[in-house]
Order: sequence, then structure tokens, then C-alpha cells
Amino acid sequence: MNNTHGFAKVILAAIGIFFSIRIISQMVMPLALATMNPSLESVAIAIAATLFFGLCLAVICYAFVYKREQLAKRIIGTNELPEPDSQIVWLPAVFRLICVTAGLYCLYTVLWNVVYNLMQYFSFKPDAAQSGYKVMYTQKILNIEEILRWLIMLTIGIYLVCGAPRFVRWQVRKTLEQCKAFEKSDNSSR
Amino acid sequence: MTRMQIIAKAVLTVLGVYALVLLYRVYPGRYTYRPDETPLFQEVALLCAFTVLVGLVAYFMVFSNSQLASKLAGPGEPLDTAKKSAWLVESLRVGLVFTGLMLLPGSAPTLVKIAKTFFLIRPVFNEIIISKSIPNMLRLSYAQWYTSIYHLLEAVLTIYLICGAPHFVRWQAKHSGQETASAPTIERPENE
Repeated sequence: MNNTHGFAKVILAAIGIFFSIRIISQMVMPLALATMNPSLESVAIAIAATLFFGLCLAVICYAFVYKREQLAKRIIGTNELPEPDSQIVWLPAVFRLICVTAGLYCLYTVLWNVVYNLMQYFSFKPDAAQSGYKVMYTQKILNIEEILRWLIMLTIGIYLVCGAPRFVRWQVRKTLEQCKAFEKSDNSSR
Repeated sequence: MTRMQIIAKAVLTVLGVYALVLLYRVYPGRYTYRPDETPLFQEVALLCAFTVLVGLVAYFMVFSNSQLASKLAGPGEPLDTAKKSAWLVESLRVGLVFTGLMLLPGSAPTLVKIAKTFFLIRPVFNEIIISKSIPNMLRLSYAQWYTSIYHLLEAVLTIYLICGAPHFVRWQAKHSGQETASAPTIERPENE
């Protein structure tokens, strides 16, 4: 088993833990509803939801935590992959990669919000009897705060997708500075 | 400590920070449709119980994650001290910046609201001075206060993480150095 396999194992376990956290956070809702309104129906729903989420949790833990070695072997194969030569080479590449990923996530969020709100706005049929409602409704969707938020997210998203060169340079410089400072303090303490 | 253990440690820390944000986001006390007559004692007790749960997650995933990281990563060749500290600082920073950037879309409305607050300070103070009563804007229920404080803290955390969380990384690196100096490292068997 090489370093790539080891890395794949860690990432698979991380995926397992990530989804476990998501599932545990979803389990809170039915339990909270059952405690707020303790009727037979809500308790039954809470028990059913807890069993379902518990089953999902068990499957995820089994596949991503206990069987991660087999899964990693299946994903990576047996070829030895080259390792990065030095940390200084991989650090900007990783920062760039996370910036592009976060940028795509920002753009996806903006696009989803804009499309969802515009669909709602245009699907609303104007009615003379509900003119007041329409004014209230459109003000709620297309207010300056919402548009400003979309514009900020769009700008940040485009900058991040372009690789955020200044941000990456600043982060790499600060990271290396912190590494050197930590090394110095480590040496002086010994 | 091996390279994979360091990466596993960074990944666990990042997931722990994300878990803290997510668990407080789904905290049952923030739902506004709850009955208003819920006593304050009950709200505080619920928050304390929830904080204990979140504290356990934080303890095992963020602050004392070396054992879990060594279990996740498995055996390997231990790194020398200089490389170890460099890998730890770099992987932690990369992970935390990534978490901050992923939390940014969720915090954007709060940042806009904070900017908007500067324009509202004067009218709110005017109303307080003239009518000598608390404005409706500040008359919030427990759930609304919780949500507002949560969003504010989330926005602050997002900015701190995007800046690379330097204090936290420094603390983690020092703490991990002390922790691993006393803990034995699992080494890769020679016949592997």
C-alpha cells in the first residue's frame, strides 16, 4: 500500500464522517418535533426517522470507515503514483484548487438563488384583487439587499474561479511564514 | 507522526469545525414556530444539553484527535520534526481556508445585514430617545435572538477561517507537538 492509498483511505474516512455529521444533524429535527408536540403520530414518526437515519449511518460507517481499505484499493488500483516533489510546489496548487472549487460553489449558489427567485416572480399571475399582495411579494424578492448579496457572491465567485491569484499568493506567503516561525520557536524551545 | 496521520488530523479538525457550525445551525431552539410560552429555564437547559453534545464532538474531532487520526491513517514512516510541523501547519491552513470559503455563501446575507446596520443605528437611537421605548426592530423572541447571534458568529468565524485562522493553527501545531511527543507512533512493518 503506497502513500496514495493511504491518502485515499483518509479521504474516504473523511467522507464517511462528513455524511455521518449530516445525518446526525438531520436526526435532531424529528426528535425536536416529537418533544415539542408529544402525540402518538409525532413520536411514531420520530422513531421511524431515527431508525431510518440510524440505518443510513450504519451503512455509511461500514462502507466508508470499516471497509475503506478495500474501497481505496478498488479506486486507486495497484499502480504507484508519483508523489509531489516539495511542499512549496504543491501548496499554491492546492490553494488554487480549493479556490476554484469554492468559486464554483459560490456561482452555483448564486445561480440557484437567481433562477429560483425569478421563476417564482414570473410564475406569479397578476390579479387585480391581489395587487397589494403582488407589491409586497415582489418587494420581498427583488429588494436591494438581495440583489447586493447576489452581486457580491457573483464577484467573489468569478474571482475564485479565476484562481484568486492575489489571495493564493498571500495565503502561501503567510503559510510559509507561519511554518518558519513555528520551526524557529520549536528549535529554540529544545 | 506520519504524513498521513497529519493529513488525517487536519481533515478531522476541519470536519470538527464544520460539525460545530452545522450542529448549532440545526439546534431545535432556533425554530420560530415553537410556542412563545416556553420557559426561559427550559430554553437554557436545552442549550446547555446541546452544548455538551457539541463540546464532545469538538473535543474528539478538533482538540484531542491524535488517536483517531492514527487509527484512520494506519501505519507509515514517521517524519522528522521540521517536516512534521511544516506539513501540519500547511494542511491545517489549507483545510481551514477551504472550510471558510465553503461557509462564505451562507454568511453573505449576514455580511450585507451588518453593512446595513450602520445605516440603521441613527434611526434606532432616535426612536429610543424620542419615544423612550425599545423599537419593534429590537423586540425579538428567543429564537430570533439565537438565530441573529448564530449568524453573526458564523460570519465572524468565516472571515477568520478565510484569513487562515493563524492563532488556531499555531495553537494546534504546538498542542500536537506536545501530544505526539508523549504518544508512541505506529510504524509501518518492515515486510510490508
